[in-house]
Amino acid sequence: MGNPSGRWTDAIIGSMKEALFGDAEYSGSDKGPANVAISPIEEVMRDICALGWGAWRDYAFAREPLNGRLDDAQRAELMERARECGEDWARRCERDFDSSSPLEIAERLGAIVTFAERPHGQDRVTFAEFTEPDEIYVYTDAMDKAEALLGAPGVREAAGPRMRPRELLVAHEVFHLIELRNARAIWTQAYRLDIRFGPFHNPSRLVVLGEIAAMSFARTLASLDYSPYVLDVLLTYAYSPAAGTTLYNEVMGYQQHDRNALHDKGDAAAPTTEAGPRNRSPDACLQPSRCREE
Amino acid sequence: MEFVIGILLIASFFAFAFYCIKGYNLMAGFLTMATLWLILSLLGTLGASPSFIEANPALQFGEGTDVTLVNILNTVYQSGPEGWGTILINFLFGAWFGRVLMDTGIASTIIRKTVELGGDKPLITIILLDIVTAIIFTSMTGAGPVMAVGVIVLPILMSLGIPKTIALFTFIASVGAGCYLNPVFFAQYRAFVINPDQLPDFLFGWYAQNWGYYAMGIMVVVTLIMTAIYLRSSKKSHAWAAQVAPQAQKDAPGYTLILPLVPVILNIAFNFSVIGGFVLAGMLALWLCGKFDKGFRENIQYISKLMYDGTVDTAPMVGFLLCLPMFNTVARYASPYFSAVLGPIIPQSTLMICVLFTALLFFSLFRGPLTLVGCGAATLGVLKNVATFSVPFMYCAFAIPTITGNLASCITQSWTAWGLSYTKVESKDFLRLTVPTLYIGGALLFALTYITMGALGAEWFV
Ligand SMILES: [Zn+2]
Repeated sequence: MGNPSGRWTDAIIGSMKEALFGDAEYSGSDKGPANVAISPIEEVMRDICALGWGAWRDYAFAREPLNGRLDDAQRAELMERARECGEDWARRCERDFDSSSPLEIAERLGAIVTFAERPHGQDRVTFAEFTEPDEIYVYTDAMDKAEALLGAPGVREAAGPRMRPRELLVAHEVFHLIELRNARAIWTQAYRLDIRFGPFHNPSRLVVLGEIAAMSFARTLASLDYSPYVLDVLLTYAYSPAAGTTLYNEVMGYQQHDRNALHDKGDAAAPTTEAGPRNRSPDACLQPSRCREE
Repeated sequence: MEFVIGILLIASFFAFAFYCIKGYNLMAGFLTMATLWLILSLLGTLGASPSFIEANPALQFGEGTDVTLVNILNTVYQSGPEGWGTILINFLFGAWFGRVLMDTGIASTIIRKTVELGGDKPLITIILLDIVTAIIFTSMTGAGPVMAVGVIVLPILMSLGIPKTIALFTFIASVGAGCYLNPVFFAQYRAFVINPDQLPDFLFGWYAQNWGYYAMGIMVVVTLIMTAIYLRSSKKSHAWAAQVAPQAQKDAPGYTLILPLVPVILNIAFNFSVIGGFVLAGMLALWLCGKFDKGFRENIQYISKLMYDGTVDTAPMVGFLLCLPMFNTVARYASPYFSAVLGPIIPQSTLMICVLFTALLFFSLFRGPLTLVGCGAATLGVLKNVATFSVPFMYCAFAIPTITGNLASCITQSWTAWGLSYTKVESKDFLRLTVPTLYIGGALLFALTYITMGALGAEWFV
């Protein structure tokens, strides 16, 4: 933009484009990552680290393939039960292995943890991966970039001292290992949503439950106040501030939307949204039975 | 002399294949090749034997004829690209229609509803998604729509634990299967074989009934079987990845979900024009999905914006598409020399062509000599000159490597290149899945071609 040749081409090509095709930047055009106004990372982290557990509900479920078959009340309930499930298994691991270090738990469970560097594009960033039966890959490239961002004073202040991306990523994947080992006993794998199509019934697992519970598992081991979903935004921002801001806007947009919904209905449509983790004592949800097969 | 020129042309052909495989710019490549072949062909007439010139009217120009050198140059550099204008316009409207389907949420609603039917069983979801993907790409064309549908489909497949390489393979292969019943591609490849105004009976409807439906069906089934086989020997994986969620759109109304099929159905049933079908179905889609809810000025701007986006989607191939016809035209002057060298060894029977092409399917990759959107245009020119085959047979013989080879299997295809970077799949891992599929699917399609197109009557020859 700044250099003269940029201005020159803009002036010529821009007006020609407009004459031929109309104004591309008309009011209804979508805000893709390319044309989003980038928010400063301090502000992003301050806002998303202040979000309670339930505030990530819509964000999480937007990535569930069967989301269209759920209503808000179901989503709120599932969000809460997945949190309990993750917490319960985290406590169980802490008890059985006498450690809350995800790496140590992974080792005791016989997982092979590999840290690998790896280049990423900007549209889809993979942070970590669990490959059946027992391999966990954590991609250090993403983490190194995030660590650099966390070095900024405002960011670290918002995230708090317990934000350690490496541990959180490993912990999340360890939960998938536990899910696989306890497929029949663990709630996230046992839960079925009945998908109906005319006379047909198709009881289906929801993949998002494992993801949410894995977040809860990681959060409990790290004793974080906020949801590890924060890493989605932080790590993506580390790659591309525009893409990170888009995710941030998505999450914050849901908050706005929920507040409007509450306001419109005049009652608490989704009470769990407001019930942040800090309002509960840590063991209030230790109900192993709820994590068992239904 | 004609023999020497023939050898030089063949040598340059291989040099060009190498150039394409290296991934250099195709537009510049075709422009250079057109010029080089034209020079070689015209120089060749100076030293060629009189009987050779006598036998090839295309090479007769200058004194004693009513063709001048300038006529020939004009044919190559002016009439060639001009003739392709008609094809390009189809592409632009097709891309506009693709944008409409994305923007109205029709495409994403179709995908979401399909996924919901499948529940949590990956194989069932894949079967349904592949069929639906193939169907919607009978009317959508270009990298833009493939990317827009891909960002919905690929994360869903991966979230079900399907390894990313298999997810990408099955998606791209289904897009390719749909291309067999896509009127825009039909018009394009038809124009390679004959001039658009020749053989008016060779219509999309006729093609679909005699070959297209079967070809698409075969490729969908082959893709599904190969995907199932690959899945059996793969490890399930769960990735923690972040991507910008496809914009949360509200569902498009149920009755609009049929609109993607409208242009194709209209064309097959009534021989209704392709562009007319796109405009009609596109406007209906915008109206029924409530996109015309603003003032007149903004609505018009909105339609323009979609046209603009669609045009940008096709932009990367415009230069290539407009230099390619120069090369196609030149092939007419160069092919007598090819015949002089290759005539005796090129098979003359449809069966032998089917067998030979099946064996050589690998050369449809990397813009090789079997793909029409690579240097296959030259192969076609040579074949047209040394042997006589029916037009539909020639069309099918080249459509198979072009669609299943280039569009659905090759990493040089624009949307595949995008998919590889989006999913972070290694090129060689992707090819490991596509090449067996190319050979199995291609062999079946050539068998189909031999059965349905191998013995057509004289009315199908030009
Ligand atoms: Zn996960």
